[in-house]
Amino acid sequence: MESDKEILKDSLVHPEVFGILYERYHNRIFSHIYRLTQDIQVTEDLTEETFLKVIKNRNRIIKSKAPFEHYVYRIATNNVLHYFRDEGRKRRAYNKLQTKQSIKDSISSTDRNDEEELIKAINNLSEIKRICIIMYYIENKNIKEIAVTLNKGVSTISRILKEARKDLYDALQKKLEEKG
Amino acid sequence: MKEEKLEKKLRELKWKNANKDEMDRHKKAFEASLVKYVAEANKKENRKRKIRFAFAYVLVGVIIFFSIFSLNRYVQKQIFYKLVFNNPLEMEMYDSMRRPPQFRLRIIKISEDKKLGIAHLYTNTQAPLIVVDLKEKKIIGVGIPLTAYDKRIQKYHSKKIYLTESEKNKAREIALNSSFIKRLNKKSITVENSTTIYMYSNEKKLLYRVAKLKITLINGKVITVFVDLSGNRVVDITDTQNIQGELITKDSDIHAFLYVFDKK
Repeated sequence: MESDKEILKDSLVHPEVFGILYERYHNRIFSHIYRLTQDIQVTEDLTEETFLKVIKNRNRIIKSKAPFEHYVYRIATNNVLHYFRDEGRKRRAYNKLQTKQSIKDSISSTDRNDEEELIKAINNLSEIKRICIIMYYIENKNIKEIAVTLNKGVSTISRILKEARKDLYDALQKKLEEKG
Repeated sequence: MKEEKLEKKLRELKWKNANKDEMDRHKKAFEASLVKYVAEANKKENRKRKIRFAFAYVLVGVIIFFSIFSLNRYVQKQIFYKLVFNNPLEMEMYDSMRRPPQFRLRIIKISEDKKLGIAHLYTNTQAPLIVVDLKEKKIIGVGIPLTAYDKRIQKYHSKKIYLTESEKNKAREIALNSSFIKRLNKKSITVENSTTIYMYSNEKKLLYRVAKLKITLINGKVITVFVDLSGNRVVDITDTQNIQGELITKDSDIHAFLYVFDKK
């Protein structure tokens, strides 16, 4: 079986060969993005953007020593991060109007179970912490893989995960106290 | 809630995954347009590569051209340096060339006149022009470029005298015996009677009885040759078609004077 980079190289001459890579990675990338965004429309857009970026940067990917898989995941995760940042800006403006209502909602929803509270706490984490938690606990990737994907050091990822766990713990403790 | 419990909860958390049908639908929908996009990207890439190659070829060509040109100039300069330093007597004839021993003569610019077979070497001296016969590799003149002439022409005076036929023949003979003039492809030589000059300078105590000859070359270029009848030698050769003046003289001051005189 041809390696990913060989296929990528062939695609410079025969465009249809790229279909093999697409077949190999589409579902994995789609699922990865969906897990991070939880939005089908956004996932579709970001998946397309990821593959277009791969095509655009083919020469660089072929020349590099890192495996193709790392590149695809890195591009996809960076796309998600950019999306979160853009959305974050919009959301902050929107949240100013909605804060009072959401506080009311969260206090009144005493019937929610622990899992829902945990998901909510994860969604309230910062973008990078949320991505690390999802990749580590949901996608079962190890710290080294996450570090490669996010282009950061292993120790940085360990620190982010530790901080994320602490934030989640604090948030859940706070909820418990509120419930009395 | 304890931290261990949180860890366990996170591991057991049921996260919402992508719907398989939606995933397949998107996969099929995007596949066709993706191949088209790859083909377009390939076209763009090929175009870019072609431009890059063309640019590289042009760049290499330019570099090779300049390298050859510089090498040629360097070799030429070395020959001229050797020539200039092997002719100390020639050089000592000119005040402007007498410099302290630590002074280093440098050739700044070389301009060639292939039709006349001469090269002008511009140097860092007061009389910066050395004229070299390219074929015989000989210095045939040292002087100053014409732009600096005006200051010096007051030193000399002249008056018109008329030459006898024998003096005209003598002037022609002297001119034709000059190795430089011998080599030129001449069409005609005329000795001009009316412009013969008698020249003197109190400063240098020079006394020249000079004849002026007009030599027309086959290519149409006209050069003026001044012959010192008393010294039996060519005093100066000027080319009126060159803005800088084809300075082929043994004395820059005399050349300046003769050049301006020729222009009148």
